[in-house]
Amino acid sequence: MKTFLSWSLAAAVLLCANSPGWAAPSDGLRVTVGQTVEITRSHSRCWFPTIHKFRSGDLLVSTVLSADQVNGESAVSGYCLSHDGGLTWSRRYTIGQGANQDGAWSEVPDAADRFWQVGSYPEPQREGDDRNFYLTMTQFGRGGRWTSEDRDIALTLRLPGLISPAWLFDYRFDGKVPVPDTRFDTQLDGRPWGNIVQAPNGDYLCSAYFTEGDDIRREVDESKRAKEPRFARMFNRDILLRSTDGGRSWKEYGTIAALPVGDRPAWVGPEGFNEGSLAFLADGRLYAVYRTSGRTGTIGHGWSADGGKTWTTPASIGFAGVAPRVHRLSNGMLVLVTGRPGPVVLHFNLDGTGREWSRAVTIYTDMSTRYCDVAEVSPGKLLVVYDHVPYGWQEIPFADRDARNIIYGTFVAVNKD
Amino acid sequence: MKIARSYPLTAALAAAALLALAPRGRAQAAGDLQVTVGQTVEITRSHSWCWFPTIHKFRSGELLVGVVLAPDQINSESAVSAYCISRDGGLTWSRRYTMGQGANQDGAWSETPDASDQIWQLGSYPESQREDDPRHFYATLTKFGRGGRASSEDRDVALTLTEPAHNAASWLFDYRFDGKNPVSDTRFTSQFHLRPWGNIVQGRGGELYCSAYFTAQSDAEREEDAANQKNVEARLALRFNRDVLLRSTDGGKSWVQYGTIAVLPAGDRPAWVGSEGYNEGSVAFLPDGRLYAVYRTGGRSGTIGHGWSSDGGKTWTAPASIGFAGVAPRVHRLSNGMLAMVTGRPGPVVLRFNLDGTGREWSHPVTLYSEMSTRYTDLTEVSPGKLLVVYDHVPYGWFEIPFADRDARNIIYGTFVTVNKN
Repeated sequence: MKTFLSWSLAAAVLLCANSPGWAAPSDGLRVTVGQTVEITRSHSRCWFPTIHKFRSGDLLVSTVLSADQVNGESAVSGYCLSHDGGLTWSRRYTIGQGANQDGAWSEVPDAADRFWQVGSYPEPQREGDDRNFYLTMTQFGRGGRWTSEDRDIALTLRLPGLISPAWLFDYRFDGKVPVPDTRFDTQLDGRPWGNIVQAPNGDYLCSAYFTEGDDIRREVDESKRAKEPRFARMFNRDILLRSTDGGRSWKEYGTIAALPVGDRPAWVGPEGFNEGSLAFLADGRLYAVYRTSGRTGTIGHGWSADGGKTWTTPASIGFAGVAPRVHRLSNGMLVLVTGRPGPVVLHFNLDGTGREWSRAVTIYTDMSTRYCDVAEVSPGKLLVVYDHVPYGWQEIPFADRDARNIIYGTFVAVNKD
Repeated sequence: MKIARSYPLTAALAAAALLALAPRGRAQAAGDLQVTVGQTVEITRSHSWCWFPTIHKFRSGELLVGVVLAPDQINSESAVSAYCISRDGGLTWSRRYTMGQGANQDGAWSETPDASDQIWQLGSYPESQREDDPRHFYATLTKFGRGGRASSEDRDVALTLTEPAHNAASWLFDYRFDGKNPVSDTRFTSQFHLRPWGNIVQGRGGELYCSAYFTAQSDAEREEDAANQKNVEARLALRFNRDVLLRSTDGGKSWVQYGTIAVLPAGDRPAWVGSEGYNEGSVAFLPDGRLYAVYRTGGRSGTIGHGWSSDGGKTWTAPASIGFAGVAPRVHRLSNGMLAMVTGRPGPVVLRFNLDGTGREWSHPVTLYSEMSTRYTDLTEVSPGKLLVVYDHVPYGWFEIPFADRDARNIIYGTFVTVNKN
């Protein structure tokens, strides 16, 4: 979610969202937007939620507790648990980066009923190494009562990744960036993202986005030509990582979406391809969606028929949004949750191919980052999680002792007509 | 360090007191000891909160320094911490790895790693096992393994007290000073201020011990009486913290209050005991098998207290003054049988030694750091006779570094000290 261009726009855009819908039937679907519950709140940062369901029935909602900055050394998060299907929620348990939305999360728990989160901002295995990194993999087990973090999970890229400055949110807006927090003033600006899905042969797959190889040169060229370098167009690419050893190491296996040489396709926003999400389709193909901007451009999507090695040419899905998250439901349909410009919305794909998507079902229109997620808590019953951030990307000022950043969950019932 | 109700006093005094500290010593003799203060290294730094360090040594040789990344407030739902690793005996340090509360100074840490070379931290602010149960809690036990490359957290470690603990308000640091507290962060507006603290030590039978401090419901009533008698705000009244011993006989899965290390007697408060009661304790096993405990009584007035137990922690000698003041005293037994203690305030970060390993007589202080600091410190013996003392530098004291000061940083330092008996 740390996309330089998106912030100031977000604050403005989120003020003019649509009003909420309470029952929004759309093509062949019966959708009812139900009760909204509060999951957690804080006067400090508390945003960017995801949701996950253990096989035991417990639900876990994660939330970021730090500013939206590139500073892996102070990035922290927390999570809450529900033991009653999402109606009531526990206190918040803090953790390092392990409960961040920035990262790839298991689509379903592993054999031990554990969720994995493969974290962002890996560190070089050796100083100056821009292809081999260590990641942190967090596991959540026993219905959330146990967690572990392994900080030496190997990540190997095919091409050198862009090592860029680390920086603090507070100084991003004073025109004198970057101001790093620690002695380590650069880091790989790369992020596994979305879902970790398991192939029929047991391999694990997830998407990640980086700037690597020739894209670095293209981005540098754009930045030199731009009036304001930090607002130059970016060349993120979405790639597929694969683990064949139970998550201990991940290697770049395929390129889901990269900008072609020449003109940027008209539907692609200024960021390139980022914040992707994956699903295995009923026919065995892989399906990917990815953001291209928070303002212009639409979400892109593509398919792979060879386990993620090669992908169809990126194409527009037909609607815009940040951080699109796609999940396959128990009835074979796909659901996608996103937002911006506009409210938090759900879209459905009835035939489970990802080709045609329903009209948007509005979930939340007040101030929010629009980073959201959805889980199927029981067949046909979804819980959509999203944040309410009254001051947008800025922190709640001291003078406002009553305001809180809040994570909400809204139940949605969905049935085919 | 989160002393409910007294925090404003502590913070304000700290900020003032830390400005008037002793100069730094480079080589100092203390009685029969030869002590040399050596190189200082920077461990980590941040523009945000970065303070209250502890240090721990894996059997494999790696060093781990824990550091708090959150304000000093009662809000465990946003309490976060981090750690750094050194693989060269403390000369250079890794990036900072973030955690929940698992790398907090608020908590009890293994004095030595377990059989799997894991260092444990038993965390503070447990939650009730059932709503409103003041005696049975769940605590979080964090384990650091593989030289700091792995960690795990069990959030349902059972903790049982023999008497009901006082459930008090949670509150945010920012509003502690606006006179309208408490302002809580979340839907959960109260929590038990119970804090395991100091070292986790292992008895001869394999059982584990650590100290913890809290205010029992009966102590809270005394606090209220004291406030009424003096006609002061409750948060400024004398406090009645007690230091207790927790014991685990099942490998850390459950902890039960086994003994009371120090509790204020009925009647007048002993003159040497500060305004807080007994808190921030640390325990060590002595060569003769006795347990030795030290504990804070105030950050301004009063001295550190200490006591001994000859029956594995069940009963303790009456609390007595150690003869000098300090916050969060941490006591460690060195490889040559001596005891080392690090503390500070009022005054600088100082080291003291007990040569005969009984805890009875302590050396003059060896000054380590006199600039702005919380004086929450720790030490480890990185090799025989070579200590590494860690402490923080907080240029704005308990307050966050303002936006306008883009260059200031809160910094964790480590200073090497060699110590030999003459």
